[in-house]
Amino acid sequence: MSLFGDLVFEAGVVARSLADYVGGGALRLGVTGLSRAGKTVFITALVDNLVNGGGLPVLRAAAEGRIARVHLEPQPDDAVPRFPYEEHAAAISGPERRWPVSTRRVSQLRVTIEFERVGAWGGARAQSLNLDIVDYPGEWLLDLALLEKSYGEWSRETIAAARAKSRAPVASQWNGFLAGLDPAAPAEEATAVKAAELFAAYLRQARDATYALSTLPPGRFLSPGDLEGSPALTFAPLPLDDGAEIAPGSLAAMMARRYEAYKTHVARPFFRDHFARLDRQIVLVDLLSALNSGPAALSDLETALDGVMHAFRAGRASRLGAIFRPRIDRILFAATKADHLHHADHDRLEAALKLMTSRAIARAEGFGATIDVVALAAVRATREAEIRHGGEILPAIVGTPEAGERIDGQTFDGVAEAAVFPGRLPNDPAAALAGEALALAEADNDWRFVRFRPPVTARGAPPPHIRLDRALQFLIGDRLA
Amino acid sequence: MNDKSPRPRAFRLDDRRVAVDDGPSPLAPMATILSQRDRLPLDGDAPLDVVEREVEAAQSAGVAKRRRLKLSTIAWAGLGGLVSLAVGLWVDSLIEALFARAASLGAIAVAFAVLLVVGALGLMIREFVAVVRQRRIAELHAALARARAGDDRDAARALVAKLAALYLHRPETARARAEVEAARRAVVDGRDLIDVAERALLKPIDKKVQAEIAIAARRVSMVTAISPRAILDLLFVAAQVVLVEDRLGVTMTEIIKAGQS
Repeated sequence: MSLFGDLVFEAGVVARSLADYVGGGALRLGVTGLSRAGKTVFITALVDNLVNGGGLPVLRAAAEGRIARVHLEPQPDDAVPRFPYEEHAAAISGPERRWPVSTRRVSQLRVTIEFERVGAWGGARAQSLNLDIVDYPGEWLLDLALLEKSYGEWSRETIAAARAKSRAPVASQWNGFLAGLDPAAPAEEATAVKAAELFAAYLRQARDATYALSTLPPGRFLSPGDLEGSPALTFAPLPLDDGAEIAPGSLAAMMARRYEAYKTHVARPFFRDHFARLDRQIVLVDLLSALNSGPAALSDLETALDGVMHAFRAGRASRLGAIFRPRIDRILFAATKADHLHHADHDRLEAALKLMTSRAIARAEGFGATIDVVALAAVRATREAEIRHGGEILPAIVGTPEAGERIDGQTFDGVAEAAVFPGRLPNDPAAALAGEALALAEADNDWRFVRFRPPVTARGAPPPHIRLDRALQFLIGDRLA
Repeated sequence: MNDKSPRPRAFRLDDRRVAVDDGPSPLAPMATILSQRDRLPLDGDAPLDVVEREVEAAQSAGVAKRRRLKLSTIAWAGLGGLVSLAVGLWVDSLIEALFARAASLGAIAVAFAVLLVVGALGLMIREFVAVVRQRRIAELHAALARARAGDDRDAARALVAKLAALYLHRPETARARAEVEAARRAVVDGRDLIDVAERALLKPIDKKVQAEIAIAARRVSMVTAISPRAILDLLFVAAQVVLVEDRLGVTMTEIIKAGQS
């Protein structure tokens, strides 16, 4: 990166911070997570509970009755799409009872919380907090690692990963295409498009529920946002030798140029315009899919979380400290879908997430943010029960499994309610991480988590949740004190 | 993988071979499904934080203390016995003397003596009940502190129910109790649940106690300022303590605790 480029970048960050300050200091809460972690559901439930006065006993200001009114305000950033809260809320609590469609781009929503606090000399003081909720795909954070890598380095790493044993079955088509490709051949658009398509298909398949892999940069290949089909997304790694010269006009040269364009026009603006301006951050993690898939998916998720943490931490120590300085002071890692297992196992789920983030957290020490870990369910789709079967008493959950979900030889139709015992998580979370298996068959795993449909809710009332209030207390509680 | 852990499985609630709660069930159900509402308490020995440990120490020095035999205790017991005997002797001789003078006077004295005995017995029983209740509260407090420190969800559920039961006779806590009950039914962690209960049930009462103490303190300071004799102050303070205690229907230790916090 050139010094001039860095200076321009920094100036951009400062300008946006200044604009934020002048525009009346809102608290910017970043909500992210790898795809299918439940970002959209989390934001929808959060806003629903705040605006419609759901039960939030652990959020102090709400429990003390100090919150007078919460309402949505017009989105302040004209260039960023608004988070379509109403649409998503209707999807969850409407007659269809379906989960909303997923996050593919940055979106934002402003919630204003009017509350009162006790003044210094007694008496109440009315205040208001503008909470800007910023929703963005967690995959984009992993692009930060790309900013430090050249095209050659990135190609070698990505190709090595695709040839690793655990990923080989997913990547077979892509690897086959790559074998017949000559980086030194003259640049041709059709070849580039074909390569990019196959590469993206491999990434998408690896992300799929069966494999549930997580570390798959570049992030925009999985959630292209509004850049679908643009040249900045039409590139792929090529097998280049270490230190090999890239001849001008060759396929490799074209790919390298597009890779640089991706960095300049896609990755960096995101960090400058959105990420560097966040105050609080929640990272949602879908641990259950990774647990379903196997230990290799879990360790891949661990690597991805480490990459996410790297983005948060980049402010101080690394070379990137020169180009942007995150001001995030509270980070919450949340294992979502905690309602898919009995609460007796919540502690184990939390322990597993703690173990997986421990490496990231330990390395993040000293960068001045408070970090916490929680198991939550933004929308609680199940209730709890016990099953007595064959002389065993099993802690179970009751809900409507999604159509097509399978467990123990049964396939659900999405209509009937069922009591599900998903298996017990191991007492020692390290046991779940041991091994290299991926995309395990159901019979090879000690647990099987099925997905449930949203619950039937009373009209107008926010659906029930698990520990959403605790997450809120951690994230914004101090600003409402 | 471990063969011992039970395999995942599922049962459709509309399956005829499955019995659900109290609904109609087949003769030999394949599986029984029981909805859960409450959890059983568990014993846990979690460490306490510093503040809690201090409170514990203060309590064990007070109400929850196991009494040990000390020399002073023996001496006081002896003196107390002698004084009781002296009073008994005096009452006995008084009644005898009154009977000697006139039978009617003696009868009146006996009636008064009976009143004295009944009243004293009543006081003793009330005091005893209060001490027992205090000890129970102290134990509950210690258990809550442990459950909070250990974030023990199941213990917190049971203890918070007990705590709410303590306030059953106070109609003004109806809303707070309902709130605690609702939190108990939801999936809330042990620590959070205890915090919710504390805020809902105890905060308003604490506030009331503090207000009463503030009023009493104002009165006392005024009397101290204008009273000519120190002994009058002391008497007035004693009277205020009794008054505050009466008004709040709480015991001294609670007042002191609220004063400290």
